Amino acid sequence: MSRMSENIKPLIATERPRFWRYSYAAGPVRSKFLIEIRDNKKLLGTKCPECGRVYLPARATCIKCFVDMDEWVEVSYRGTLMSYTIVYQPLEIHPVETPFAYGIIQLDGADTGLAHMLGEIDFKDINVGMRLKVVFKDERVGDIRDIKYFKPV
Amino acid sequence: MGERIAIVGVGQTEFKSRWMEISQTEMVNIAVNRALENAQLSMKEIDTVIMGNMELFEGNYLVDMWMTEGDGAYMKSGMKVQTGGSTGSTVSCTVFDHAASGLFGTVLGIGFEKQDEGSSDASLRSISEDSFFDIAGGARGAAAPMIEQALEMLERGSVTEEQIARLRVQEAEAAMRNPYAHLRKRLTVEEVLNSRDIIPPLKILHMCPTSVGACAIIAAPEKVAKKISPNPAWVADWVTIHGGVQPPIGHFGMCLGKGPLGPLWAFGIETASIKLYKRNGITNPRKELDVVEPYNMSTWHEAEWYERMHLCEKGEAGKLIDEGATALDGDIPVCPSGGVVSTNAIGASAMLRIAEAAIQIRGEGGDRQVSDVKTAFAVTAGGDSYSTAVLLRKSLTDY
Amino acid sequence: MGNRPAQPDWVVNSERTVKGVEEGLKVSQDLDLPDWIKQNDKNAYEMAWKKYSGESKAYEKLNKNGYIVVDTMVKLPFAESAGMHLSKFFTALRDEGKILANRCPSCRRVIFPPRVLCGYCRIRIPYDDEKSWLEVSDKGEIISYSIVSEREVDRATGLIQGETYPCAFIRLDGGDEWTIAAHFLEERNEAKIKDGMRVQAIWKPKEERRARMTDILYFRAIDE
Repeated sequence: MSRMSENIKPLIATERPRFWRYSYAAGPVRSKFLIEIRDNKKLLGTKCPECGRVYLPARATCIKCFVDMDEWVEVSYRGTLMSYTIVYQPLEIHPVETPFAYGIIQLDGADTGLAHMLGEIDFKDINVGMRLKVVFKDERVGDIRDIKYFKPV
Repeated sequence: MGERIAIVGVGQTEFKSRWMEISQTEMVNIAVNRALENAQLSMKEIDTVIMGNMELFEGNYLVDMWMTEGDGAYMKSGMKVQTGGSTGSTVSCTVFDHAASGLFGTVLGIGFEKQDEGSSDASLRSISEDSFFDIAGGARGAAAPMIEQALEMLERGSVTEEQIARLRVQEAEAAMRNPYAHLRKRLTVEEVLNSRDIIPPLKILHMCPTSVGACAIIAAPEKVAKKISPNPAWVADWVTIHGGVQPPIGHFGMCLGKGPLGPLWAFGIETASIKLYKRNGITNPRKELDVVEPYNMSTWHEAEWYERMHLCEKGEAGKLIDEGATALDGDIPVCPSGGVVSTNAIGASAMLRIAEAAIQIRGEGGDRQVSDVKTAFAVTAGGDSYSTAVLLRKSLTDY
Repeated sequence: MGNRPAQPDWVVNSERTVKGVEEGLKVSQDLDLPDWIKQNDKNAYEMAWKKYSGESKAYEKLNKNGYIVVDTMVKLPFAESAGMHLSKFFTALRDEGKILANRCPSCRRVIFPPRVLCGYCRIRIPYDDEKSWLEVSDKGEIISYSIVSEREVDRATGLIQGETYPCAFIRLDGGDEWTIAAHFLEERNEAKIKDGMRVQAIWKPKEERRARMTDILYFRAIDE
């Protein structure tokens, strides 16, 4: 691959593609969160014993208080859209074809937002503040994509 | 002039080959909590968090931002530092710089690695390759310079293979006394001599493992340290040497043992040690240091570091081994923790040298405690001869 | 895609790796390579097969105990610029079959491959000054060599990595002590290779050169 520049002779560049495989340990807390979705279609968050914040997706430690969170709470299937974007540029990692809508949804009962896709909706009808409900896939494997998308209520 | 500083807390996880039941964040959290407990501090009292690991091994860019709930860095100042194998020690030196600046009350440093989540070989091969000149498919990595070093030592007559085997047995003994070490198995000289060759004379038992685990240290400037800690390990001095000198052959020159600077890492270790000795009036390290924790990535390297740290004359490393001088009950114990050859979670390894030296100063070494430690020395090496040296003292006036 | 139930990524990726290993093993035995290399590759593939099918089972076991593994592939399409000095070097390789080095204007040492700065003097080496450039020979002597006895199987693809030719450091004539090229030797038989042996670069035909070090195919022993 070479490129011409104005006063400089042709420059050389080399392709250096990298292809790696990683296998992350979700850890006990995130694993339980995903397994509850997979096996029981339940959305469980962890609750901080000090500040009472409920984290969904579940985390092991409260970010503010730096304490372990052992309490699990079930969170509603319904929530509010906090922010969204429409994705047009396709990337291999995308679970669906572009364009698709992607947003942050705060489920009732949780103090944090969950980033996921929006479905069964025209882009022009999406509004920040709108109410949404989770739709699960029929076949679930223990992955955040076991949630298919969020649809309008 | 900076503030005088001390290490007031140390924490580490147990180290193992695989730990897929726990996430990186949770693993780091264990070490951090142990360091806080050791220092009798809460996370609220930590001002800044410095952390480091070799990101490509886990494939997490901006790992410091990703694990703020685990390392406690949320809304605190701090940064990520990475220098290859010496990462843990440069994180530590960054912690020391912060503490010595007088701008921070307490500084937390973390080094970790979770290599069971990636393929270290692929990552190491791709990042240590020169795009234009390493056409042999990365047939080097860290092993090649290790073999170079070993060959050089045999040629020079510093050690025999039998002495190296005995040293390896000594290192294994040390690891047996360290409940956190990864490889904890008694070895015999025959086992070492008969173990599989990687490339002669380097054998599989001479090599460090790939470990999973985390280490954390907490440092503070003098007035804070004196207030919060009954048992500070004073950091008398520290130095970093950036040894990335332009090698003659593109990237390969560093691996040619007969290059202008000698085998990889040796130059950095020696320069850092000498600089630190000079600044601190140490003229006879073997006598003036009570315990040493160098970065012994292979048994051969431990022997080489004896010479490079001037614990003995050049060519005399074998003598030190024969005398048993560097064993726990010797006159200059080296790596009572078992060293990198027993535990190598890369991001943590270099910090462990400093942490273990601090543990020795504070008398918290349990079965691996050396008696009457007043002065401890930790020296590390990493990617392309980046070295750090740290001098710790029990008292800044009496030594 | 058939009636197979949905699988977690670590099953999909493990299977892909194992499939890569199986196919790689088949292909490797048909290649035009010495038997000992083919045998080594076979061993490497067989070990890899055990390792990577075992991995899948290990993750399944973890899963049953309540621990999820999130498997992912990372693809990064980097391209690196050679810069002016190396571009001149690679262009000369491709277009003229010449190997260039440059010289520090201060300490006068020969720098190979050519660089922007002399690392010892820390001064810039001029690009446009002809006196800074020199041609070195494509003949030289072997300083050190290494026979690749075990190649490694890549975890992402399941395919074996690296070259089959011995790697060598070759000091090229016409430069100084450190004018050393890292390249391959044509001779795979260890008994026929010695440090100090004279070798000559064998170039690819001009139309196959791509402005890379691999425009030289390998170095062949010569009687000199």
